[in-house]
Amino acid sequence: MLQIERLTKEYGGKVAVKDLSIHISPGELYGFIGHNGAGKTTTIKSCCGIIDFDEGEIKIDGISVRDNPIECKKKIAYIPDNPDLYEYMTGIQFLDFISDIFGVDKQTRSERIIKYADMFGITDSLSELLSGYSHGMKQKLAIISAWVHEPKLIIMDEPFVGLDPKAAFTLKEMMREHCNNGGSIFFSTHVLDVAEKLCDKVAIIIKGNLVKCGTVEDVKGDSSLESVFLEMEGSND
Amino acid sequence: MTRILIKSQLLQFFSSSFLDKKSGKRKSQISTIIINALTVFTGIMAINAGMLKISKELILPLHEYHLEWLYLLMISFLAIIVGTMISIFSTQEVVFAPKDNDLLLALPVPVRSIIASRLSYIYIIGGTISTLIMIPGLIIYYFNVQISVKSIVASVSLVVIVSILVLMFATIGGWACAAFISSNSNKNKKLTNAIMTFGSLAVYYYLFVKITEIFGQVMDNAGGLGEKVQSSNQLIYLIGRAISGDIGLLIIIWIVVIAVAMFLFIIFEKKYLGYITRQNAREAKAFDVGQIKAKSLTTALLFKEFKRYLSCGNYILNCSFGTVFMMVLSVFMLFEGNDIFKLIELMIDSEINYVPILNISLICIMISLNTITAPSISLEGRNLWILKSLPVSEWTIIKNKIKLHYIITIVPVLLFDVELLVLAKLDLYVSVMTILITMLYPLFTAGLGLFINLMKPKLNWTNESAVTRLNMGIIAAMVIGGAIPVIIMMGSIKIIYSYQIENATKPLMISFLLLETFAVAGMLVLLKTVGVKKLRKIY
Repeated sequence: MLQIERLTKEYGGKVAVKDLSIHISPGELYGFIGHNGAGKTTTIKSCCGIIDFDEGEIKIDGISVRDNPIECKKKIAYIPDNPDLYEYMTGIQFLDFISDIFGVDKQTRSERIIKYADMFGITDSLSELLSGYSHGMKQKLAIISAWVHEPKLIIMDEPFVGLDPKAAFTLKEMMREHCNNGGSIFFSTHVLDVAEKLCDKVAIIIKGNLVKCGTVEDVKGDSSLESVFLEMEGSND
Repeated sequence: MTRILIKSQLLQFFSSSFLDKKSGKRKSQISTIIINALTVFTGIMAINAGMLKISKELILPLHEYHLEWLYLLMISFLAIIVGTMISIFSTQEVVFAPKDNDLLLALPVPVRSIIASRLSYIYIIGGTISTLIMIPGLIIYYFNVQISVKSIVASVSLVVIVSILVLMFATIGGWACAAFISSNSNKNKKLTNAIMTFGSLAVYYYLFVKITEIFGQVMDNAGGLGEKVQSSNQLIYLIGRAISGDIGLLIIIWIVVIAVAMFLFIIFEKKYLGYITRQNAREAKAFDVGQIKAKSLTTALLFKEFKRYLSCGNYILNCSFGTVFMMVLSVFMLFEGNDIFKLIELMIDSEINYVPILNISLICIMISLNTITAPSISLEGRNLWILKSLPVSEWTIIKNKIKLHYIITIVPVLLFDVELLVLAKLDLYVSVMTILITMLYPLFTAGLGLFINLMKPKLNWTNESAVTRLNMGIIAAMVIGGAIPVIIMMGSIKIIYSYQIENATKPLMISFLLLETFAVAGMLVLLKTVGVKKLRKIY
């Protein structure tokens, strides 16, 4: 579903990501772990076609992001770490906007919007302007906007930040369900406990380099993901 | 603390001129000097040219009756009106609805420091405008009166007092607008904001017409009016004397202005916190499935652009001059159109009919005053990730930004076209050509504004006014878009006049249309190639 091959990205001579390769298959829930500034967001934004990259190749469902970005974007949904949404729209107008772009018919979008808005408890706020939404509410809306067009691949940057415990639980359920239905999810997180319990596979990135990837069991071995991560961080200092 | 906040607020104001967007470092000295010099020069030239003309006409009759004090009062009045009108919507956005209010409120910063920093921004905007109006007026003044230390002290004081009054009126006006827009009884705040903006533009132009009328009356009856004011309105006369160089009276005026300003500041300080925290309260509004509406991709993008446009008063105010001008002029022409055309025919006194060329040029100049696309990429700001992550091509995004500009511009253009054609009694060929040429020109100006913005976008703003105020991009789009019809008009008249070609209008019009078609096609190709690449790289 997502193939990242030898991805390299520099910012003014400073390497953000170097020679990174990750493969995600349909049905996989893939966690991306790293410290602040490790290169997670750069990798994620490169996958979504938001930023250009210097070397390597990224393919979504076999289509190159660089050569055919529009076709790739039709298959994905992206949720950023800080959901800056159109504050001049109401919640429902924003969801309608996203549904319109992806061509989701009225009946289908209505069912999905009601379903997910109810799950997150924001149905009553949908007719309010986004300028009045809290960070958590915007995050929930961004999540609904990703699920409303049922993409094959969902890419999320720190999706649990700002969510209340109930919403975090709901999101985890939704993620699992999406993958069980054949979709894939690639998300970055700092919460190692979540990654360990939720993910099928994880990748650890330190200072732009992929240091370990594979199934959670392979990566952590007999130890915990936290111990492995801290150990790797220590050895790279 | 106040100094730090003012510095940060001013840094925001000047950041586009002094800092490099990508590196965040100070721009090289040469580029800084060139950009600033161009900005200042364009602004000064635009305002000063008009003011010098008004001042020269105004002072002659008043000087004859030794009423220079009345001249100073009138110039000050004009500066206060224009400065206040331009600053009101900035006040509403910068003082009452800035994005970083929550951040500042969470810091151990006294409210008066927050207010002082916000008002410093407004003071610079209003003060710059009022000073630019006052200076040409004062230059003309000193050509007609004797220069003395007292008069110079009074003039400098006058410039500062006017700027303070502009700040006071803008603050009160902005406060009233913000209070009305955010009142609980107001159900549709964004629409109210847009209507108020358009309304204030209409008031602005009405006041301008009214002031011109008053100035005309003053010039016609200078002697009698001066005596009347001196005898019946003692206060106005005393203020006039003070600003002409009566230092004793000037000190009293200073005391009064400072006292009123402090009084207002104290009231403002007491109310401000309550106001901005109340504003954050959300309205409870019921949602029902009927609110879900499906649209096509193109309609959805255009809807988004319209929502963006209507949500920002400053955007409407600074970038839709052309639309408002054309609407106001349309109404004016309905009543005065016949007389104007008779006057033009008398003035031209020629066998050759210049009216079609004048019509087209006039409409194209007004079209160029619309600069809706000029800040539209910058306005995406931190939301740019949404468009960039969606399956929408850069070209589609560009096309929809141009569409918004075109729709807002073309409606008054067509209205104005029809009105002019009927009033000027032009034949079918000229009418069709006029409509075609004026319908095509907004496409060029829209593309031009967007291209300029794509070359120099500013995405890291905290307040929309940072990108919607009259900045280099908007001014450049306006000046280039306005210069082209002026050059074409002058060139055409020169050709017709020099060679006494009686039937040149028709071939000239077809030449314009062809030239314009090439220019529009060139602009669209430029956007589709360079513009698309640039947009792909922006983030």
